[in-house]
Amino acid sequence: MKNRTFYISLILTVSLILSSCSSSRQIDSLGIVITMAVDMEDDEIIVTSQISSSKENASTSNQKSAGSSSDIKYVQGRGKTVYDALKNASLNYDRELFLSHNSIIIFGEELAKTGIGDIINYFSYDIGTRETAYLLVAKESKAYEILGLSYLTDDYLLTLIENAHLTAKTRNMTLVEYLRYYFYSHGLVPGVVQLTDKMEIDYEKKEKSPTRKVLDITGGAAFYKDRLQGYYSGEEMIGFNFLIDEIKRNPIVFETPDELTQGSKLFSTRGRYTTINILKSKTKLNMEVRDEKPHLIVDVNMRGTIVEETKGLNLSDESVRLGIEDACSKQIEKYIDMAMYKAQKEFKIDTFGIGIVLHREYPEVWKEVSKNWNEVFSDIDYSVNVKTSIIRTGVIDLPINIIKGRE
Amino acid sequence: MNEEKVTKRQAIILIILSRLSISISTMPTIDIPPYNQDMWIVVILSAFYSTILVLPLLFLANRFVDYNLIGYMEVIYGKTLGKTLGIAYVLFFSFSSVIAAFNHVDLIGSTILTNSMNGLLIAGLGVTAIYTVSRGLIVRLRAVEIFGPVAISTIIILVILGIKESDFSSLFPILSDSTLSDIHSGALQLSFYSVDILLLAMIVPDLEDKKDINNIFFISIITSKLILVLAVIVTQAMLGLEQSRHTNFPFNLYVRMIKFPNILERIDVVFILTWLITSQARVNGFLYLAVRGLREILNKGLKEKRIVIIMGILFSVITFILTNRYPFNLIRSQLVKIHKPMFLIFIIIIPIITCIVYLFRRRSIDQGQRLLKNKGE
Amino acid sequence: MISKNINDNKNRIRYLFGNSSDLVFHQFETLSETGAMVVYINGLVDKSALNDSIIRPLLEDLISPYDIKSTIYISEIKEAKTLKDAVDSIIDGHVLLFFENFDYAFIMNICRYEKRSIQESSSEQVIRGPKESFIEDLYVNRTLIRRKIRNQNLIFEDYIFGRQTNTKVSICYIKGIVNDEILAELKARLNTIDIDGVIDSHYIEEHIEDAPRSLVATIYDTEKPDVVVGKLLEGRIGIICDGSPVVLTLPRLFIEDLMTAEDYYLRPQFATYLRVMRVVAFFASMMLIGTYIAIATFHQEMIPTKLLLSIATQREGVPLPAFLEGVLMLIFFEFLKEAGLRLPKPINTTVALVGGLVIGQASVDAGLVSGFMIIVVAASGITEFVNLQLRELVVLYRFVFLFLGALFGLYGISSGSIILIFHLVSIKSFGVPFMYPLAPYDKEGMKDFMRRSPLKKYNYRPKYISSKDARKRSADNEE
Repeated sequence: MKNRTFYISLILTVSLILSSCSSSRQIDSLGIVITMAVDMEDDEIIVTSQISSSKENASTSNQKSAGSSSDIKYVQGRGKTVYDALKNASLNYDRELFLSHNSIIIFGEELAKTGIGDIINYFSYDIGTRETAYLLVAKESKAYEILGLSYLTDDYLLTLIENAHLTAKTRNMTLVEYLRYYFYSHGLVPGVVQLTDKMEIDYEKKEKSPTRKVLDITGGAAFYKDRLQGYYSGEEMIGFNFLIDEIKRNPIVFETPDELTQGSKLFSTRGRYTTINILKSKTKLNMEVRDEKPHLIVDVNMRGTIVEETKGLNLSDESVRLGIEDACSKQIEKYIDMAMYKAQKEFKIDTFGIGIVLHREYPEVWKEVSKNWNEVFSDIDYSVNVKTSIIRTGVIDLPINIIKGRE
Repeated sequence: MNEEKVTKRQAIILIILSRLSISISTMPTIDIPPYNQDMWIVVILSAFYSTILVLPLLFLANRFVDYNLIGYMEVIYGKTLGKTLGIAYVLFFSFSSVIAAFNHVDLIGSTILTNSMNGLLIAGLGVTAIYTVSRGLIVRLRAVEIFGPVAISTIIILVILGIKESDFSSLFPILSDSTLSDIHSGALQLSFYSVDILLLAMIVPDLEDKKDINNIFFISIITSKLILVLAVIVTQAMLGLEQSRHTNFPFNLYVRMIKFPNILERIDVVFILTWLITSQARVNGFLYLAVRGLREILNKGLKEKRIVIIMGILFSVITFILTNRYPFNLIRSQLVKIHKPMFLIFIIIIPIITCIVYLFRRRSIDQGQRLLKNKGE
Repeated sequence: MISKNINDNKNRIRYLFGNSSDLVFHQFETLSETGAMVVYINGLVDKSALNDSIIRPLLEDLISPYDIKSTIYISEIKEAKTLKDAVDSIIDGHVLLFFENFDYAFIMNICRYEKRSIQESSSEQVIRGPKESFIEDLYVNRTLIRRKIRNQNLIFEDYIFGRQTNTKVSICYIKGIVNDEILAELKARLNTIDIDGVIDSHYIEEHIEDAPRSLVATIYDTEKPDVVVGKLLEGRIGIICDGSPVVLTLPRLFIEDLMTAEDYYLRPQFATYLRVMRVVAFFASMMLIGTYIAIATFHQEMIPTKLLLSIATQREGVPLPAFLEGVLMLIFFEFLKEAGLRLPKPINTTVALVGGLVIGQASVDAGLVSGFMIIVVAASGITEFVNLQLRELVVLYRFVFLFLGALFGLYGISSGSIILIFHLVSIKSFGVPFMYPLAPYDKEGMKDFMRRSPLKKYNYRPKYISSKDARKRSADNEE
């Protein structure tokens, strides 16, 4: 009995000593990577990591709230492969880079045009990375330039991306979504990030330069396999999001048709636009074979509420409401046309996954066309049917800019 | 106090766990013909094939309720031949156990403990194996009865958690991309992976109610296939068909994708721990069968504890050599070739021959049985 | 043999007791001038009863010693033929009465000594339900049980253990409900006991339990009569030991540790909720620290990003690795607990104050440990007290899991719990599987497991514990 206790404790101690130097890591010895930017220069991969380090924070918890932006560090490494570059970064940084919390991967535009396959490969090979990280393309810049902004706190960019559903003008895509569709014959659209100029508000800084750089994620980057083909603009992204049925509670702005005000005495000549906020939208894609050619039918069924209207329409009138709904539908059709035009005529790539629909509905047809689907796609016909229903009209019934009794 | 027997529930859970162990870790299901979205049909069909393929063993088990596999081999073939076959089965059990352990160490080493040495992992596994195997069958089954429901419900919860992120549109169209022969061949191949019927064949004499044998088999096979179908569907929907095929541990990758910001992220460890339970059931289950078979062949000359320790150490050493020499992928590609003949020999050919021999020598064997029984009374 | 001569007897008894000073010999002559002597131990007998009910009638009324039963006012009079009987009865606190020319003595029971009154239990307090608890006296304890089971099938059987202490021990059970195999097994084990002294019922427990080397106790103990009665009604057997307020019941199941008497006096839903909380507390107190260290040093990817950053900030500047940090705080906590447990109340508050301050604030401010670790240690400390019955198991296994977590991460924790569960299911208490009704699974038994079903739903007594005829109510009333 005594011997056994002795041996057990001996084994425990020995294994404690053995393992403590090999596998466990203390949290404070890690450089936790929040965002990663990958570029290619002179055939070398440059990996820039944004690190959330709490090093400057004092050991007491009282000062935790002090300046969260001062403790960010950027670590850069160069190498032949991504892993090489990451390990080389430790030559100029004192902590082990910890990738499991990396939530964003940004690619430079140059790299995206030559192909990101090599880089993405690493992220699914290694167990230490996070496959739910968002992919972004740095539009018209190097990826590491994006990271250089002074106000970039730990989760600024992440929150920016995760709020993509607030407008329909952008989108987000994670690595796993990218890989899910990577092997299909259609294109992929990850998000975009770019630096744009904004007016400087701070008086002291304004004297030096009147503008400042901010991050902007409008639009989407169209990929075919691992190569960047071009960008969707913000308005085209609305059409895109309608086509892939990713519309959440987003606004739609359209010109109020003039004829709706006829017969009403109270109307403004100044207000041009009406804004509808979408409550729920459902897009159904269907395929048909017409004259031995695939034909796409887009059915959008949308419910919304009027959030802004400046013309003074009489919304209690049935015909006025129908007219507004009609105008809204037309606008949505226009957005979809824009997106389809760009995909069919410029990129010549099916970025919407219409191939999947064809595959589902006409497996035989798909077998024939799947080899050169993107060519077939670029000249298929399509028809769009949008049905808008306005189910709420806000809390006032007359716009403020109309002076009552003006006759 | 009466000696405790194995209940139906315990046997069912043991077999389900042992089956799940392989099917949710490396998920051979995803990488067999027809390689497309119809895999779930293949899985369901394979339940049918698995049943047909093990009919001879089931027949024998129902015939000789007082003997286990190795026991009735001796009764039917006589001492020498019976013992040789028994040793063959013991070797097969040890082989299955080592392969399962290899899989175990590989999965742990390449997922949650990437920096630990194989030796440590195998030491842990070996100690657990020796301890649990030495406790005997009844205790092992009671433990399984506690772990089993936990593991199964965790897997189902994981399946439910991932539905939000999955895209089921890629699972259509059903049955249009694959030929019928592809599906059948896939189902057949899949059923070659499940050798767990041997677990049942070895514990028949300990069963509480011998009439349950067929019931146990059917319920366990159907339940495990249902769970597998769920797992396969969500994995394919989450990862896409191609990506899931080329991942070593598809369900693990699937669990990594489950994401509820700031609440649940990267919970693959939960899956691994659940899987550990199933894996323990398989590794230790087959090791136990090997020990038990060996003891029966050696006619209780040795103490059981000594056999356990010798087998446990042998098993750890072999696993250690294997894991430090080859990557699992290599072994796996070799295994695909080995699995079929192994299955054919041990689950089909030997039992069929045994059945035939039994039918020829039926009278003398039955008489011998009756004599034995009378003597016992 | 008892001599006819009083002085002879007196000398022999005095010799047997080695001139012990608490022995009293009182010689006198009765009304009929017969020589008489009472012998007793000072302090064990009721002096006023001795004077009024024995001495006075003897002096005033007794004519012939043969009429003794019609003369003195005592309900329990026996005759002692041998000197050994006489001596034994003196030790029991009886009064011996010798007459001249009689070769036997009379034993009269007027035993009375100081004992604690029946109070509320201090270790198992309840809000609702019976509050009385056992005391140190065997006879009172038996009465407490007998008063609750008014049935002739309630049977007490007496044993005497302890070569030196000669302690009385009673086993009790209900005939017809008790499982005869378990009863026979218990009697067989009791007969093997050879012990110097029995000071508390735990002495008995250690001699008859199933798994002496395990941390798991296989015999249940309680201070409350209502708990014992509940267990007797399920077919269990109780062991009452003189001098101990703790009554043992057996066989014991794991789930009994997660139950309290109060569970049956509350609404079933609420009782179920409490049981779930206790199970959570059990696992938390055992594994929380180990799991935290495993996650914090091996599986940092599991922690949500924001939480990880906050932990990282706190750990900044802490000199110790998480493992040592945990061990340090845990040991400190154990010291504090042990010190607080036995101290007089005024000092106790000081210790708690200083300890709390040191643990809580100063160690964080000094940068010795991180705030998060304090929370974890405190949580596992508090949850430890939720299941007092399991404390011995929990406290020691906590360190084991701490080691395993620091060595192998969650892999170690899971291997450890696999071994723990194997250990638990391999234990039997008097032939009953310890983890029943979970393993082996029993549908009827599960009605009173994590879920406390309404009392109407219990149709059978526990399968392995009670006798074969396990029906609780007649079949017509079954729900």
